[in-house]
Amino acid sequence: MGKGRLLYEESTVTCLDSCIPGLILRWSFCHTVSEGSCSGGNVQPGDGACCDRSGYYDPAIAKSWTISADRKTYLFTLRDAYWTNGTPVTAYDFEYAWKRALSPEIASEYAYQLYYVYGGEAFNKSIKVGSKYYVQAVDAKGNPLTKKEGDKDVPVPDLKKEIDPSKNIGVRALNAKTLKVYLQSPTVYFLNLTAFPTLMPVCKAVVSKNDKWASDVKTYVTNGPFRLTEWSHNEKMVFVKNPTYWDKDKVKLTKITYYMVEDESTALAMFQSGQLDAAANVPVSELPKLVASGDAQILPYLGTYYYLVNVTKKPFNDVRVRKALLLAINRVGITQAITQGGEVPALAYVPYGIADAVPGSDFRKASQESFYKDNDITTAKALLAAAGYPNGKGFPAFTLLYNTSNAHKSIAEAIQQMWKKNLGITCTLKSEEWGVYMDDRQHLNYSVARAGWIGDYMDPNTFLDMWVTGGGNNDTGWSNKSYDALIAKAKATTDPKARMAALHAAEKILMTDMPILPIYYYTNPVLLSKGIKNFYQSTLGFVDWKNAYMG
Amino acid sequence: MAANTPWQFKEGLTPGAGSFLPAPQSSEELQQFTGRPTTYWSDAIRRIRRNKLAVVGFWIIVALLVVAVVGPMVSPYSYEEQDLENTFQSPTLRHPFGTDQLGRDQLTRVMYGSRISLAVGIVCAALNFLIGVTYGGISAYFGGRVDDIMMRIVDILYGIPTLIIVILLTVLFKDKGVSPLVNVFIAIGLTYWLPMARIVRGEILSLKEREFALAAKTIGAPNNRILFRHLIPNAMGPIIVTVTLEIPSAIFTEAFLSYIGLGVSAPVASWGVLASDGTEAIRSFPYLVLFPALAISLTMFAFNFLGDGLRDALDPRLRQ
Repeated sequence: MGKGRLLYEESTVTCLDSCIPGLILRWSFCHTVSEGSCSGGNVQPGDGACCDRSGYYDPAIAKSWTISADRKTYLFTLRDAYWTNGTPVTAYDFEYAWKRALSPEIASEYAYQLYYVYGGEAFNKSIKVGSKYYVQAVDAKGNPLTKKEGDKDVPVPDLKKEIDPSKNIGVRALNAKTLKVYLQSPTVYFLNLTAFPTLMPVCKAVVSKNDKWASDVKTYVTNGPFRLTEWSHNEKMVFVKNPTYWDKDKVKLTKITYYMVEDESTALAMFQSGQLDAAANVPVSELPKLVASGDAQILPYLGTYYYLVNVTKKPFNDVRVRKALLLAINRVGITQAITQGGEVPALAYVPYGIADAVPGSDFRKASQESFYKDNDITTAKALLAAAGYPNGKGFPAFTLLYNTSNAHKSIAEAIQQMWKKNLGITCTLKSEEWGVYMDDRQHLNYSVARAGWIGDYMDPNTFLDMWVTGGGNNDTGWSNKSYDALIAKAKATTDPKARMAALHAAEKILMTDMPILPIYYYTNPVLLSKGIKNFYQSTLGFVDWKNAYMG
Repeated sequence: MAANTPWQFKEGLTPGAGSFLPAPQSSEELQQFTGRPTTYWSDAIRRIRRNKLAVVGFWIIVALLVVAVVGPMVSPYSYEEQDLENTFQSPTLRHPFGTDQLGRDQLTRVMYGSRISLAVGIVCAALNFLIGVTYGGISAYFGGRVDDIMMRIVDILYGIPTLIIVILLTVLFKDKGVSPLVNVFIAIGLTYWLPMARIVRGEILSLKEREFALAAKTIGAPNNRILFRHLIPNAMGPIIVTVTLEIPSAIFTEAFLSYIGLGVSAPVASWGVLASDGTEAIRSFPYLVLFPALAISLTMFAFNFLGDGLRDALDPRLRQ
C-alpha cells in the first residue's frame, strides 16, 4: 500500500473528455479513470491497455458477450458497475457515448475508431441543420457539393437524405444491462477497440446536461479504479482510489499524483530526489547510465517515428524529392548516437510486433521487411538530380517543424545536417508548442514536420488506415485512390489472409509514394522506481495502475 | 652654461627686481621645467593601469576578440559538423572541450558562440552611441517641453520588459524568414540605449550651464556644434563607463534569450544555446555546460572589471 506518483512530461492536457484526446500520453488518463466494455491483455483485468497478441480478452464492464456467426452483431451483457456519483453504468451510457463521439458537432479526432459501427462514418460526416443530420449532397459525377461562404467551402446538405442517430447507427441499448452493436463489416479486432478511450462510456445523466463536464473535477464523473479529485491545470492531477469501482478489492494504490513537467531533465531531477516514483520520459543523454543503474527501463512500444512531408507544396509534390530526403537519413546513426533507447531504424512504416495472418508470424517480416536502404546517399543524390536539383542547386530553403522537446530537436539537427551534407539542401528548424504545432500540421502550414504514431490496437490497420484520403491524422495532403480501395477492402473482408494481403499492398503504395519519411520504430524508456511492483504499460502505451503497488 | 637660456639668473647678479626674465613661450620649453602636464586622458590611463582587475579584464576582452575572429578559422572542425560516432566525448587533445550530443566539437562551438556574443556587444555599443547619446543630449540641451516629451517616451520604453518585446517580435516575424537573432538585436536596440539616454541627459543638463558652453553660445555657435563639439566630449567619461557596463548586460540577455529558446536557431550556437543544450546532460556530461558557462562568466567579469576601473579612472573627483 502506498502512494504512487507518475509524472507526465506532456503539459497540455486541456480536456479529459474521453472522446476528444489528441496525444498518446493523454490516453492513459482515460484508462486510469474510465473503463470500457472489455479490456484485453493477459496481464491483469482492468482498464489498462488492450488486447495482447494472444487474443485473450479480459472482461471489464462487460461481463460477457456473444458474437453472431457473420461476426457483425455483438451482444454485450454488462455487470453491476457504478459511476463515481453512485449511479449505475448502463448500456444507455455506452450508446450515448458512442453516438456523442461520432456526432459531427463534437468533431472528435478519433471518431474514426467508431466507423466500424454500422452508420458511424456516415453520421460523423453528416451535416447538421437545425437539430437534424443530413448526408452531404453530391453532384452528377458523385463529387461532394460545397458552396462558398466567405472564404470557406461549406458542404451542402442533401435534405432528402436524413440520418437519424436513434435509428441509423448500429449501437443500441436493449435494456440497462444489454448493449447491441451492429458493425459495418466484420472487424476482427473490434473487441480490441472496445478498450480504446473513444469507446469508453460517459455518464449520460451528467454529460447530456453539461458540455463542460470534463473541464471541472466536480462534474468529471468516471467509472475506473481511480477517480480524479484535484486538477491544477498544467501542474498536477491527483487521482485517488475509487470507492465505487466494481473491482475495488484488487486496487492497491490509494493515491496517484500526475505532475505535468515539460522538461525531461527536471523530471529526472525530481525522480532522483524522490519527488517522483515514475516518469514517462527520460532525457536521452542520461539514458544509457540510467538503464545500467536500473532506474530506467526500456519497454516495448508499438509505434513509428517519422517525418511528414507536405505533398501539396513545391518541391515536395515530386516523389523523387521525397525519396531523396528519405534516403539521405542515417537512421543507424540517429538510433545509436541520439535516441539510444534500443530503437530499430525504420526501413518501412508498420513496426515490428503485430501478428500477421499466419499465427506466430509478424506483419513486418511476413511480406517485405524493408522498402529502402538506410543512408543510401548515392541513390538520394541521383533522385534529387533527376528532380532538377543537382547537388541541391536551386532547392528552395524550407522549414523543418517539430514540437518542442530536446529529443526531437537533436534528431532534427542531425537530419538537418545530413540533408545539408548529403544533398546540399538547407532547412531551418522551427519548434512549436504542441497546440500550435498540431494546428500548423492540420492546416498543412509546414513543409516537413516531425510526427509519430503509436498503435491504437494490435493490428496493422491502426497504422495504415490513417493515410486514406482526408483521414483525420493524414496531415500530408496525400491522396491515393488505390490505397483507399485497399484499406476499404481490408476492412470489408474477414479472411485473415486476404485482409493482410490488402494491408501489405497498401503499405507498399505508401512506401512508393512516400508522403512520410519513417525514421525509427519506437521503444518506450520510462523511469520507474524499484519500489513500484506490478506496473504494467502495454506496447500501445496505456498505463495500468489497477494492480500496481509500492513494495 | 648655454647663453641662450634666458631664464637663468645672470651671473653675478643677486635675485631682485630686474633679475627675472619672461617665461618661455612654447610649451615644450616649459615642460623641461615643470615636467609633462597630465591631461584628463593620460591621467585616466595611468590610474587604470594601477587597477589590476581592470587590466586583466581588458586583456580578457582582447583575447576574446582574437578568439572570436581567428578561432573558428583555425579550428579543424566547423561549428555544425557532426560526427555521430563520437558523441559525448570527454575533453581530450583532439577535442579540448569534448563533443556534444551530435559529436560536434564543443571548443569550436564555444569559439563560434563568442562571435555572436561580441556581435551583440558591438550592436549594443553602437546603438548606445547612436541613439542613447544623441537622444539624451538633445533632450537635455533643448530642455523644457522637448525634454519632457522625450523623457516620458524613455520612461514608457523602460516599462516594457525585453522578454516581452522578443516574444512579440517572434510572433510578428513568424514565417517571415527573419533570423531569430534579428529579433534579439531589435529587442536590445529598443531597450539598451535607455539608461545611456538618461545618464547623458543628466550630464548635459549640468554641462550646458558651464562657462565654456555659454561662451560658445555667445559667439553664435550653432546648436549642433555646441552639443556635439563641446558638451558631449566633456561627458565622455560617464558615457564610456555606461557602455562598458551595458555591453555585458546585453551579452547576457542574448545568452538568456537563447537559453530559453528565443535566440539563434540551430545549428548556429551561441553561448546560451550551448549552455541550454548542456544542461540537459549535466549529470553525465557536466563539461558540456561548464565551458559555455565559463565563457559567459569570464566575459561578464571582464567587462564589469573594466567598466568599474574606467569609472574610477574617469571620475575627475577621484583624481590624485
